[in-house]
Amino acid sequence: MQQLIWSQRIIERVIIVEITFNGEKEILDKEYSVLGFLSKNELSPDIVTVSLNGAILPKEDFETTLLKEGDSLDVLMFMGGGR
Amino acid sequence: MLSFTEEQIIRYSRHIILPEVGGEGQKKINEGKVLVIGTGGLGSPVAFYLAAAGVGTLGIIDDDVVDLSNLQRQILHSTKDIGRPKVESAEEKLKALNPDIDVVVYRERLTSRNMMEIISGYDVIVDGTDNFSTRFVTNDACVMAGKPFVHGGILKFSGQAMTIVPGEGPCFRCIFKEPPQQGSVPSCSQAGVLGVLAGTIGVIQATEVLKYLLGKGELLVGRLLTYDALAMKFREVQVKKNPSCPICGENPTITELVDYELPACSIQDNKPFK
Ligand SMILES: [Zn+2]
Repeated sequence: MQQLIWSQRIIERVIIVEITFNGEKEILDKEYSVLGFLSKNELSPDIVTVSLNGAILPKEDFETTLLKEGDSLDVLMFMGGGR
Repeated sequence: MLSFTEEQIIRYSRHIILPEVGGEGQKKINEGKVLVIGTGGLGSPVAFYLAAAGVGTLGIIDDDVVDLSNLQRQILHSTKDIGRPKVESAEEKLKALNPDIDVVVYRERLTSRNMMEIISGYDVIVDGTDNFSTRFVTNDACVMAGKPFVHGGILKFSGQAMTIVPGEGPCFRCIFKEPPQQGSVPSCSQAGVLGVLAGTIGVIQATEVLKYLLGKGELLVGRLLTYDALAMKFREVQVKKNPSCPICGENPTITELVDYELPACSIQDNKPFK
């Protein structure tokens, strides 16, 4: 019994999600929403657009969308013309 | 019948010798009408190379004057031009490079009021603006008028470019629905930019224009090309037409051009790319 609980804990602890972020593999050690992932990377949601698996993700969905194994995430920035 | 002067044949000989260009292609370039919005960081190399290539009518629009802090990247302007209107300084350099072309000068800001009239005279519109309102209004106007629009942007050590051909792929708003919130956008001097990035991205934009005029190659339609100068890596992000895009989507909510009240320039201090 004790052992079962112990192994469950281990399973819970090793949630590893591998995603592709801006073209490079990244391993997440816990579950992240898109919003959480942006904040982990110090990216303000106000000034970026997120493309998730090839489709633009509406800003309203940043908080509720969880990153899953194999997801491909591109963060696109507003950029000026160098004036 | 192609009619080139002897001088034109020599001037454009490295183009004409290319089988993909030839005399016919060079003629298309010479008959091309291109509007470059802004004669700053991106607009400088775009206009400079398009003038060299012989784009017959080159419109340049800018209401700004040359400042010392511009010269780190805005290669159309020189130290002696400080204080001069940018379009005047730009016109002088472009005409000196190639007297063969017409440079049409607009010393004003492109807004919803003058937009449609100005762009109507051009085949391709090039984005060299730092003003988010201008960029969104230009995108909307190009979608409405069915004009190709070559987007470019630079920030810190990163840049991006994409070509919008209405009806053939996504527009700028398909990706960036609306300008960033006011307040999230501090001054450009805070963000900074490595000057050479203007050249890297501007020359990509000019290449897209020439390909469009020639009808050759694959345009950056549906592909946002991003560039990271520190890693020295280019990357392509596939972008699709967004069905809920407010201007080119299934139920457009933007039916007339509207300006945004926004500060000019770019973005807060932030990590652009890994
Ligand atoms: Zn669109």
